[in-house]
Amino acid sequence: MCIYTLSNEVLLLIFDILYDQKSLADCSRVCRSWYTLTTPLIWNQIEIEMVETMMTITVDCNAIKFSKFHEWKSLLEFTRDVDIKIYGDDPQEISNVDSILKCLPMDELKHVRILSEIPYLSIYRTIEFFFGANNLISFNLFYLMESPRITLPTFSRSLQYLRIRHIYSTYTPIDNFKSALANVVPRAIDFGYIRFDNSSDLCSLINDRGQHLQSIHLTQCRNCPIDDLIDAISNSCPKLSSISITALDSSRTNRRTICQLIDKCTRLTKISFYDIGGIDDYFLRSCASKAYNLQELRISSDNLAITGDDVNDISAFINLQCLELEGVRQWSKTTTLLERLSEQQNLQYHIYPSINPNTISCWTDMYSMQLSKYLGLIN
Amino acid sequence: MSDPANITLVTMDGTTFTVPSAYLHRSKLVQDWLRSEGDKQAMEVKHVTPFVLQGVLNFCEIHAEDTSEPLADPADPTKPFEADPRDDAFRGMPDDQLLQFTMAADILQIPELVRLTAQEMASRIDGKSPDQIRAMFNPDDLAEEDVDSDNEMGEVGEEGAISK
Repeated sequence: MCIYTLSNEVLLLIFDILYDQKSLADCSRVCRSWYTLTTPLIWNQIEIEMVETMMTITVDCNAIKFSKFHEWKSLLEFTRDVDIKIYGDDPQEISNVDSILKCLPMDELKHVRILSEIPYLSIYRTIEFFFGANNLISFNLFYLMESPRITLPTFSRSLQYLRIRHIYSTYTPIDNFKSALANVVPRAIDFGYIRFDNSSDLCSLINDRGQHLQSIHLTQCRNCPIDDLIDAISNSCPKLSSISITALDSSRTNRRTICQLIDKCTRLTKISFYDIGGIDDYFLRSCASKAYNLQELRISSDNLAITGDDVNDISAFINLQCLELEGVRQWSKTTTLLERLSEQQNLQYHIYPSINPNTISCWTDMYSMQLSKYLGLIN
Repeated sequence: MSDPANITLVTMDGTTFTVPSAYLHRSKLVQDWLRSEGDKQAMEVKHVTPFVLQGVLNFCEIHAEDTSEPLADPADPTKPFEADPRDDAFRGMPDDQLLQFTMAADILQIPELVRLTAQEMASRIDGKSPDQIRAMFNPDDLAEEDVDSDNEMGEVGEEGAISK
């Protein structure tokens, strides 16, 4: 009796449990039949990295030379998961990347991640390769250089996770936002520095097909009115568990809309609002008394209208582990809230005053209060 | 067809085991055999030694009362593996015994046991070099073909060295 007598089903199960690429590579060298079984698993994920003078194709634990491309080309058919990182724009390397991308089995691809620091033409070309990928589950695009516009592949219904993020730069319009996402019923979306052509683009996606949405992450998007957006989310996303919104334009919300979010999306565990005006005590009170599943609440703005003055009921904060309020205008009045919160075990809370020359005096209050609390002067 | 109260299993050397049929409701092989036509005197389980079958039946006895839904497929990703303290005996056994249990579980088609033994096998293989893996599981049985392929793989390994 030896290990080679095990059936292929059992061996595949063992390799599946391993899934650590280093171990799989070791297994592939045990014997010929193991090599055959592990190859598809090892090549399941490829990573292409292109730096100015060097291109590496990392197939998990081995970096492979492009000069031997003809030898390992056929193994690319096992790829389901592609990770492309491009830091340089050497024309030779770009054409090497192109040859690899051309050999990928587009219909079979499940996950694509692209991270690019190179100019517009190449990022556009890289996306273009995935136009035929009809069974994608996730599509991630990070890019640093400016792009006048971006055209997305037309995603099929299988797409669940979509992230398009321009990091720290100008706002990119997407040519075909509506048509590219016409069939998508997303689970998670994440947009950063995107300019929507039409102010109703995102809202209508959420309204029509937001029923499975669990996570929304928006950073610095333009032409995306916050009230309409939150209204759409409240009415169409019953499964939402995480929401994070940073500085949209017209980012002042009205009290009624944002409180409605708490009433309707009862599964929310994580809320982060950064640089959103108009959040006040009503919202905080609404969270504290109704959002029973909430684990993280972070609100930061230049000027929060939160005083915490009469927040007496924090019964819903039973699961809360982290509370951050930054930019509180009337900091000296938050004592009631602080008292309530200090009764809660396992809760980390940070409450900072607004950084405003007029209210700078409250910093002193804060530190003296923290110090006295530390010394046990306040119970 | 009504299920019999007891099932008799015969191992490779003719040893017989009679157990309540409820023990084996998770074994697809036994269930298929019960549904099949013909003589239901005793079921032959070839390739399984009495010691191993005894161990498998112990596992079945421990889990006979389990109310959890039987696994359709041991590789089902939606049902994460959870270690059960009642199965600790399977975690301490020598490599070759574990191998025999894995085979027996596969032959009898008991997904829960297949998953348990495969999990244990994987944790033992994890982090070992090809030579160590071979040494773990009876190096004497290494077929000529496998030795050849080892050399071949050795070359691939060199190719796999980090490129400049």
